[in-house]
Amino acid sequence: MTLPPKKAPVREAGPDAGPGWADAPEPAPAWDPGWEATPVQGGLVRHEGPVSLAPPPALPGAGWLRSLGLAGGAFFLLVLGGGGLWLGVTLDELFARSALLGWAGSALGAGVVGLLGAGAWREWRALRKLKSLDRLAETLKETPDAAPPPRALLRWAESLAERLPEAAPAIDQIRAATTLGEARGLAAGLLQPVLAAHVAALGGQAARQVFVATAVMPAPALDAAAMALIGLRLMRQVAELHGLRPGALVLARLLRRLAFSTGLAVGTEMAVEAGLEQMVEGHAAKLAGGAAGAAVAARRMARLAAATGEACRPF
Amino acid sequence: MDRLLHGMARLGDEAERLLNETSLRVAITGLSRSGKTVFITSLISNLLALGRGRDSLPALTRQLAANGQRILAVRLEPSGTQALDWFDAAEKLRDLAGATPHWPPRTADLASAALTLVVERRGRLGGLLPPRRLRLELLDYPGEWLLDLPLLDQDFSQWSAATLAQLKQPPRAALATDFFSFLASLPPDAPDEDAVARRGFLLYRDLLVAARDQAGLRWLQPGRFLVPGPKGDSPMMWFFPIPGQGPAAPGSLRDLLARRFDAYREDMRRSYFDPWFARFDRQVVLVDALGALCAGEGAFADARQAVAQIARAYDQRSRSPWLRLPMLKRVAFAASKLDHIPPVQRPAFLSMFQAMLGETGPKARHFALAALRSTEDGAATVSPPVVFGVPAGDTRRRPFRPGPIPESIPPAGDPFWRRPYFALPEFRPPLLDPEGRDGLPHLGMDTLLAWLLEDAL
Repeated sequence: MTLPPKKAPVREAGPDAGPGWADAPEPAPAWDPGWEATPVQGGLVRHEGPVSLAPPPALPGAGWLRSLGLAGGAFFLLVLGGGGLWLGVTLDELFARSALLGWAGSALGAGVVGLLGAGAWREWRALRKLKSLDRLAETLKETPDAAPPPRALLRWAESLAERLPEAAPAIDQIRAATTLGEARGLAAGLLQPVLAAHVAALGGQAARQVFVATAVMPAPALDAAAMALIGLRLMRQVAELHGLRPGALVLARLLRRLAFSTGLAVGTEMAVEAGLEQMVEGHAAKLAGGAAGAAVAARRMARLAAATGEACRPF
Repeated sequence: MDRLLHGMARLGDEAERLLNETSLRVAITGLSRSGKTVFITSLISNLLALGRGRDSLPALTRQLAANGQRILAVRLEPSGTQALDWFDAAEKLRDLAGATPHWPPRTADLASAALTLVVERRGRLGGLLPPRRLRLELLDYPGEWLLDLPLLDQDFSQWSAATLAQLKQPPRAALATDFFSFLASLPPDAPDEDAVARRGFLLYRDLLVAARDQAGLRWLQPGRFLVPGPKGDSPMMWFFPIPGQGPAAPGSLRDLLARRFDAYREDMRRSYFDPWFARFDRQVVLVDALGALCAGEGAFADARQAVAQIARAYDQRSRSPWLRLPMLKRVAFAASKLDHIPPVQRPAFLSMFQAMLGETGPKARHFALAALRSTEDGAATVSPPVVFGVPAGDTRRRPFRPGPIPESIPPAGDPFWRRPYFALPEFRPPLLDPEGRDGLPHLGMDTLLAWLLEDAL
């Protein structure tokens, strides 16, 4: 589109020539519209856009988990292949003894393989859902506020309405937004409070369970196990609320995300709440039968719910 | 219980803000047509693009990278509860990038905007802490009003004497013949007749308009005579400079004009300067130095005086209420329209701009920039050097030469000043994405921002 400047003729002038159009016949005054008579070839000015600041994609093999991943793959292959071979040998032996036993063994094997496949299919679908959420988050980051809202945002909002009928009015408003900035504002002002209320309710429920569990568990190790179980269940519930399919791999990814980003980013909030917890802890410990850390553990559940909610939202 | 919970939430929010958020009020000042509105639009668009991962401000990115930091996100703040107009950067961008691109119209009232920059913390522990937020508050307003800032420290007699002395000097003298004829017709003890006051006001206002549009002058007081703002023309504004010393006789025209002058000054102070113009942390003073240079010796001296007076008046008003300590930490003087000048002449232009302003103090620095670059550089071999741009309203590219640019101010009577008055051409904005995906192409905005925000980032 940009034409090279050489196409526009420039008249040579003395070094002391005053300001003016350099294609106008000398000594036309600079503001003289006489240049209309000498049309110049050349289009509108268009500058190149700035370069992207996105970091270059990681080189293959650069991740420190890659070798572990390879080892895991090998182990998985060994188990799967070994299991397959074992099944084959076993079926062969069963058919050698009796056809009935052989067919029964085949049905059992097919069931096991089917269930394993269904599990893998569910995990794959869950991961795909998480990836589409990540893609949406990236699109929202990239798109200027003045642009129309991307279709994926509306799809995400509509998928929420299936689980949260009370969010439907907010989604109707978002659907009517003409720009992303407007949609973002409507989502933050109308949809997010509905989600946040549900997340807080789930967090509160988990907090009560943890508080009671800490009070009744006879050993600290069991406290930790109970906390882990309740925490994972809470993450599943929050992820499900946000339209994700919380498989094992998705939960692992969410945990990693919380550990590396959200979990650390709430540092200030934790510092502020630490004082509060210190105040409440003494009285709460008496209520919980003297179990140390009961109130802190309960508060952690509320924080975990909020942090998981943030990790599951595209903005 | 609810009140307790709300109180605790508010306490938490405030503590979080105290730890993580810094607010900077940035005054974008400048005379009319110096490019304040486009500067703010470019600043907002380029920072938003930077937040979206575009290297739209390379010098700022490099400076942050050298400190081990980066900008994670940039958000335009919601309007909150402010009484001011909202500076609609998206609308300004639509003006610049629409089907018939044009520069935003003359600013007629105050408008503000706020941006939040989310910045990664530096140091090894920085990654473990939440990112910092830097909140930039920006204010746009008619440049003409800025000229009323020095007016606040004058009374009517002082202002009249200074203004009339200036009107007798060229190039104003040639434009002020009607006004001086009117003054000559006034008897020494003219009564406070409203029709006379209004006639004098209209003649004086016409003189200001002619000085601005025909002679390229910028030192034009009072500013609301040129841009009345949302309140429009009110009787309070029907005054004009009139000779006379000492207290005016009650019931005289001079007494009426002096009371109107005081009312005008008080209204400007109460409505605009005290609430909005005080307590700034950073200041950008935009100057159309090239336009002043091309407009001739009188216009150049006029712009020079206006900038010096405004900088002084601003410094005096931006002080802490008790100890009167200066609150402005950095002042950037920026010569706009750098895109009208070929690269080979830009160092000379900056040098001339520094000479134009003289000594500006240790917390000030000089820059030359184009908030929106509308031209492309010509070949370095062409003599005299040119830039290529499309004149406003046209679709054809044309070469433009700004003429010789001296490194220092030519002395009075130098042949340089004998060139006829020349109004800088208005170039059509370049082709832009109406959604501002990549920010706005610019020259030198990044260097200015990197310095202005250096100690706050």
